[in-house]
Amino acid sequence: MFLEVKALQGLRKVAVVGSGQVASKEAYRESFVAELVRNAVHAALDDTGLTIDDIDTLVGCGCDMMDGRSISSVFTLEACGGFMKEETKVEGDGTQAVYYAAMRIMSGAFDTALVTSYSKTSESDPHYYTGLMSEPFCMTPMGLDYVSVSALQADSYASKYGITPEQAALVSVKNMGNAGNNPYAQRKMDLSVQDVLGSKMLATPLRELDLCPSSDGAAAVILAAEGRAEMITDSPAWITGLGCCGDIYYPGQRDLTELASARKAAEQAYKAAGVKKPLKDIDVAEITEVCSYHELMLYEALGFCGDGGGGKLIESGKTEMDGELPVNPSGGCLASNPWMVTGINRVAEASLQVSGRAGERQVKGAGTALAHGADGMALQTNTVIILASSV
Amino acid sequence: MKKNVAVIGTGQTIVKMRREDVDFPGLCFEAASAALQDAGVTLEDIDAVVFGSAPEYFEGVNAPEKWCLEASGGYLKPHFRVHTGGTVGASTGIAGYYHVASGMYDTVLAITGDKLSEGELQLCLSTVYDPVFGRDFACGAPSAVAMQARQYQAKYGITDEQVAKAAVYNRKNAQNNPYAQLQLDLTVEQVLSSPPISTPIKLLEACPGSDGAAAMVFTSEDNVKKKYADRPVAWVKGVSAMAEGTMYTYRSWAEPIALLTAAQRAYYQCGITNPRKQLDVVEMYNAFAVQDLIWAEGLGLCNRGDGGKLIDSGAMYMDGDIPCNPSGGVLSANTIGATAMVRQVEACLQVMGKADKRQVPGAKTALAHGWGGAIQFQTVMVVSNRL
Repeated sequence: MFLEVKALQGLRKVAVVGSGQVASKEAYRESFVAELVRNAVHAALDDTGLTIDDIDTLVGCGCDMMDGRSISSVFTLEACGGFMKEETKVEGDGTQAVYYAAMRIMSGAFDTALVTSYSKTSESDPHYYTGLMSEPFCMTPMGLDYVSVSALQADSYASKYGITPEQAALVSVKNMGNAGNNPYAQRKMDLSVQDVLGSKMLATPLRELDLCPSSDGAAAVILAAEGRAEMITDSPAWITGLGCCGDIYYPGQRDLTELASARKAAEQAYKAAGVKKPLKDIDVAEITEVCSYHELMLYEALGFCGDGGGGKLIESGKTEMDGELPVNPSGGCLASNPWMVTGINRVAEASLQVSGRAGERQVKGAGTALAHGADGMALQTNTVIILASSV
Repeated sequence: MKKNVAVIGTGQTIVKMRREDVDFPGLCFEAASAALQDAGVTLEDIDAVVFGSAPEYFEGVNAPEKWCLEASGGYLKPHFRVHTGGTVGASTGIAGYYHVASGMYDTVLAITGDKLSEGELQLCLSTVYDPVFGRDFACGAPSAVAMQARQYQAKYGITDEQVAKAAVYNRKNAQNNPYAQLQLDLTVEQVLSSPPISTPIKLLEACPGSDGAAAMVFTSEDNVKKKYADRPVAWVKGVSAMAEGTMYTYRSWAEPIALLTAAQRAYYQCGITNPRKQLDVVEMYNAFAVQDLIWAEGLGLCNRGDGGKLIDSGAMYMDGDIPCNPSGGVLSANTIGATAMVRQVEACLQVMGKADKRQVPGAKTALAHGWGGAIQFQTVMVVSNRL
């Protein structure tokens, strides 16, 4: 079932030319969702010096069940600047919305695109809204949610390869420490491994500090085609690789340790971008690690190390800020998880890195960045986007 | 720079009020299999899948595309979900088009569906309204369109009889469509005397709620030339999806500005300056009979305010000069998730000459329209059997 994916060479080039993030917070009690996304859109427009009239198409990203409203985008559309615009909406993870927006520009129909997302998780309950991903006949009676499913996956992985809680805790220490440099991050903590191991056990083996928080947030990124991108910014972040892939739905029917869909998505993106040795060829990675163990699994699925090598890789320091391939300088998902927005934040952060605009979390000389998003139970669907400072 | 894209195959399930023999993934599997078979391809040939379904509340399962992933052909393939309310079927077809038009993928499966029988439909739709200011009024979809009908009929003097005629002809057309849920032989009197759902809308002027799915296979021009030169295909000639605002009190629902713009944009892409003449058949998203007339105006099939005259003239009937909804339209089957895609499927079948008893003879160019949201999403796709 090997897919012949065309390299992005020869196709119309697209770049991320700017972004705006609304800081992730436990709750924005004084704003409703339209205000959050409006602020993100204004930040992105300010970042690029564009007005909404310069935007040819809009791709939104949201989730009705989180919003408690059917067709929830209907009421944030104007706040996103969608009035009388060619628009559409992806219901899933933000990286998929970026991926689709890029395709729309590549078709030649549009020169610029605005991708928006928001989540007001404080008005919802992630246990219910993730639990409702269960099909009603066999899974719903089990009462699964993102905590228990991530725990099952983490446990399978740890058992298979002898990953220790200490190794997983190193991810939490790194990411929440990195978050201190990120003005948009929610959980900025100076942790020790012992702090993580001493936090409350939620579902074996996941402790509170092993798991993402739930955040309110919003973000927007602006994409532009070659010829236009260079007029908007001196440092476009060119999309050189795109990959998206979905796996089997039932967690019990696939090898939860393998992340087959992440591997395939990475394979597609790497082929297009010419990435052969990820650890060397990629300068910085922003990935969606719902729990600490996920980051170690993603090291393997994204080819940063061999299968089972995730624990050793984190111990080696190579994914720290001063390492060979810093992962999640922003703090990643463990620091902030505004659910639908998380993927867009990864793209925004990756683009800031290759544009040299990542402030205190800048990885020096970053020329190639990887942004990863995940969706569905136990990372069922994965999307990988490679950004580079030059094409 | 824009690449040409064709539809080489389509599939739809027979639409019923309640399919108790399949679950949602099973329904998707039926439509996907039918489309692959019609296109003469297997999953090996499919490079990517794009899925669409309307509010998750309908089936009560969040991220239903994940549940339906394998059944929709997405195993270890690119796969994501589009959701734009009532237009989702069209938005998903449009997404399938952009996948191929981008140059990244050669052959793409777009699939949509819903099982409205598995939820409380109007309760779900009532959550569209603002939780603070709107929910007390919330009475689902019919009441919103009732307001639209009032504004439209008052502004242009459209009579209830004219609206009822739209219901009659659509339901009659459905008798030629084996996939339609409702196939009714009605008179204007029967329609007018049917119980009111939300005045002025009467029961027989409203769509049903349905279970069903549809799918389309899009491919590149290169691929058509290499492998499908001997077969009828439907070239996508124009595509547009526009949204107007939501704040109810600021808008006139009698003026579908998003549709007027979407139609203009799609027509511009394919050189249509006189839609009434240059289109051979139109499939519209007429969830309620009055919308037949409003959308006809929005698509430029007649002048603004002349929807009543248009229906009176018989032009929209199968033997008229601009046949509309040979399938029976949305009045005859409405899964919401697949509905706007079924309009695209039917338009493709027409120009491919595969519409059997509902074929408009010699149809070369067809338009598929989609509508949804809080009356503000509009989509237009024009297809033709010539490049």
